Amino acid sequence: MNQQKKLFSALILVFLIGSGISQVCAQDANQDSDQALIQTQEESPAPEVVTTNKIFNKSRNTQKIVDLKVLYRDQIEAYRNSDKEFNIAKTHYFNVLTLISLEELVGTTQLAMSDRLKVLITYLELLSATLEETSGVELALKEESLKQIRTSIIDLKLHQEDIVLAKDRSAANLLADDFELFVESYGQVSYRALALIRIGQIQSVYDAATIIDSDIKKSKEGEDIGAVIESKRVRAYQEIQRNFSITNDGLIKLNDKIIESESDDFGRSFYEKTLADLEPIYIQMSRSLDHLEELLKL
Amino acid sequence: MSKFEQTNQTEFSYEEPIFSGLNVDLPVEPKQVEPLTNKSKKKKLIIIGAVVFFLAIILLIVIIKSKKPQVEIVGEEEFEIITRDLGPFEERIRNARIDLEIADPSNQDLTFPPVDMELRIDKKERR
Repeated sequence: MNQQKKLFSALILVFLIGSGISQVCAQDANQDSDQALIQTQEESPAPEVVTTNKIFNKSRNTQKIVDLKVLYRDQIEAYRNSDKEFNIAKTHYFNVLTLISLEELVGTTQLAMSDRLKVLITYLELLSATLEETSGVELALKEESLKQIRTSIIDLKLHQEDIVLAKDRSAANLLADDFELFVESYGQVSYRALALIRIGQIQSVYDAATIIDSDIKKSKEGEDIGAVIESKRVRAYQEIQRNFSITNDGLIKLNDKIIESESDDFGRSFYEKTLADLEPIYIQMSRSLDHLEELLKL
Repeated sequence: MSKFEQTNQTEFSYEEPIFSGLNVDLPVEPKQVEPLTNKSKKKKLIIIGAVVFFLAIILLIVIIKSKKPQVEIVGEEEFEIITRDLGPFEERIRNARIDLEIADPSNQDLTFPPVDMELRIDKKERR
């Protein structure tokens, strides 16, 4: 018994010592890391770090767009819940056919329709804000699209007022009929704006890249270099120029397509075709940036 | 008492002590078991103690090693940010790259609202 007691006390002692030492070491390590962090922060030139960090983490979304995205996400969530309730109430009503279940169904329909409209309006507002911020879109096309979006928002808001007034089954059915009239135009306005945003985003990168290219050329002018490097540079300039002209041609064609298209042509298929056309332009643009980076090293 | 006079019938004749009449002292068995168990207990104690000690050391090493790399990583990250002094052109190209990433056609940002456009109570009457 005595031996067992000794063994047990020895075990406890070892564990206590072990855990004590490990805690001390862990604290030391934490302190070391904190100190290292503080030291690096103290040693670093603050303004430069902030600037560099900002460049890498720069978000292209304005506060308005960020807020709208949050609102849109919340509204989608609310719509999903109300749509679920509507479907449950609808199934229940057609099973029992009672007046109470009909009342419930009308209420849930009204709520689902209202939540759906909120989502659709916020989405248009989001498109409008993004389009406004996209610098590569031709101004006339941008203005036209923004105008269409504003008109659609007004129409949807008027429809929202009708939803509040709809209190019975027939009124809810009438609302559904009215809403059908908006569906097609809503899609066209949205997909047109989306196509413009996508084209404009690549166009702005192209514009920036051409300016960078000309600035690099200017900076390298008059440098005393050998014939080999000179010829390498000339080849690089030519290749970059060739890539730029391919990218530019592709973007002009896409812009022309939007200008030439009738307002009825902008649907989902149009947008998907635009994305497919943008894919090689995007790759070309990425290659051009690679070449610019290589040119800097020559 | 002769064996024929015994009343205990649970005892057999062969159980009767053979040398009872001789009064010979039987050899006492030496008690060797106890010291043996003591030794084995000590051995056990040493082995368990050693195992626990080694476990504690391993635990210590693991804890220290798991903490140390964090210090290094933090230092490295900070160091990288500080020393990544890009030239104006590299910064501009990097910015263009960020913009290009946003412009990726496969980017699923701003997808069309996933809502039911045909939400209604009754099916539409065909006219």
